[in-house]
Amino acid sequence: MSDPMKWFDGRIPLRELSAFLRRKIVPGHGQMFWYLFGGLTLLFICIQLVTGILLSLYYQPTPETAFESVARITNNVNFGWLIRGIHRWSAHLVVFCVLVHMASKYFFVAYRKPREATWISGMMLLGIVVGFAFTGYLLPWTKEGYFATQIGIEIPGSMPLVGGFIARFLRGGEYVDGVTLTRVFSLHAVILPLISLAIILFHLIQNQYTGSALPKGRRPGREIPFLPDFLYRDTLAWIVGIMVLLTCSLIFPIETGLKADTLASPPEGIRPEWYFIPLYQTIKWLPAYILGLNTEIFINAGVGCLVMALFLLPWIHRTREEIFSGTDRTFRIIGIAGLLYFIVTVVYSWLVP
Amino acid sequence: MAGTMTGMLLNAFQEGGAVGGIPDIGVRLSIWFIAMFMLAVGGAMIYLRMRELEKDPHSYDSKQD
Repeated sequence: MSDPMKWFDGRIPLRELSAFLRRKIVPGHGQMFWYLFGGLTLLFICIQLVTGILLSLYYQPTPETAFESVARITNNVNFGWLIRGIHRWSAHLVVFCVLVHMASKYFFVAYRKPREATWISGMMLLGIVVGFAFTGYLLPWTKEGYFATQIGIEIPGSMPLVGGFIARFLRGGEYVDGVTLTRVFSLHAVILPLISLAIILFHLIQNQYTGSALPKGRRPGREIPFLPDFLYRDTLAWIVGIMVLLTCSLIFPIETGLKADTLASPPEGIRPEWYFIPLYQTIKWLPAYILGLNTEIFINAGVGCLVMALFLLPWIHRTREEIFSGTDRTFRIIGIAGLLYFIVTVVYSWLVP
Repeated sequence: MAGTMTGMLLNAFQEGGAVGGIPDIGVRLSIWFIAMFMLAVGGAMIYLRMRELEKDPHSYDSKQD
């Protein structure tokens, strides 16, 4: 057979698919570096999927066996310690890449028409990635994971009206126990992956259709075809990403830790993962009560407003630009302030435990 | 050689062979050096091909040779 594609003609629309993929153009300019973080996020999500499937071959989600099964993976399974280390470090890198990708799109003003749906699906993916991180923390059934989950569920639990329902739904009762572990495992290994795969597919198709956005204020110039030119750049970024991942996993392997004791009191100095630090540090800095109301209510309201504002950003921006005739710099200033607050809280929390 | 490699792949992530948990830093550094070398070689080859393609955009079309 001279052309293997001929067999597919009339059976599977491979030629049409290939033509659709080859249509993608990436704008060429000095800030192309930031385009690489989308591909890197996809790479680390794929690594999470593969290592997660491997870990699920041995993991047992019950309070009696979860810790022991993770210890078995680390100590008795060939390269189990490495697979577990890659899964954990890759989770950190997914969150990092998603945050950088989102920040770059924010400063490029890439959420404007016609990319509103891409931005919203990206926001949903950010929420899912945070959900993955939160649910994954309890699975090894360690002391830190147990109490961090307990505290983590209390924050949405303090929301008025729906808070109690959310907390009970996540815990499967009044306390973090075996039911919580099964529920969290189901979310982490089945529900969130299925939802995320659907949203990732939608995000990629949207991106393929609308193309990558130019940074705000730049005029269209040189264009680079995605296949194969930009894919070479993406592949180089993936190689660097894998180098970073392997370096972290091999030099700083993940220890088994101590098994959770549900009757013990929370250990001193327990802290959430770095991406939850801005929220955690804000709660620490604020007094317990503001105007006679529990601070957690204000925190919940603040987070709710922030999430809502980010979802509605394409339309909020358009309205402001109409009012200020395109000379408005408010969003850039808010973005820089938010980024600085994130970095300052993480560094402060690291320096002053 | 091929038999050893196949054996290694079949035994990867199987229980029984590994004992003692995380290997010491010497073993881990050896794995790290091998992995970095292979990735660096692969990266260099891709980079060279990318530069070649930038100079001659049609060089990927084998029918032109």
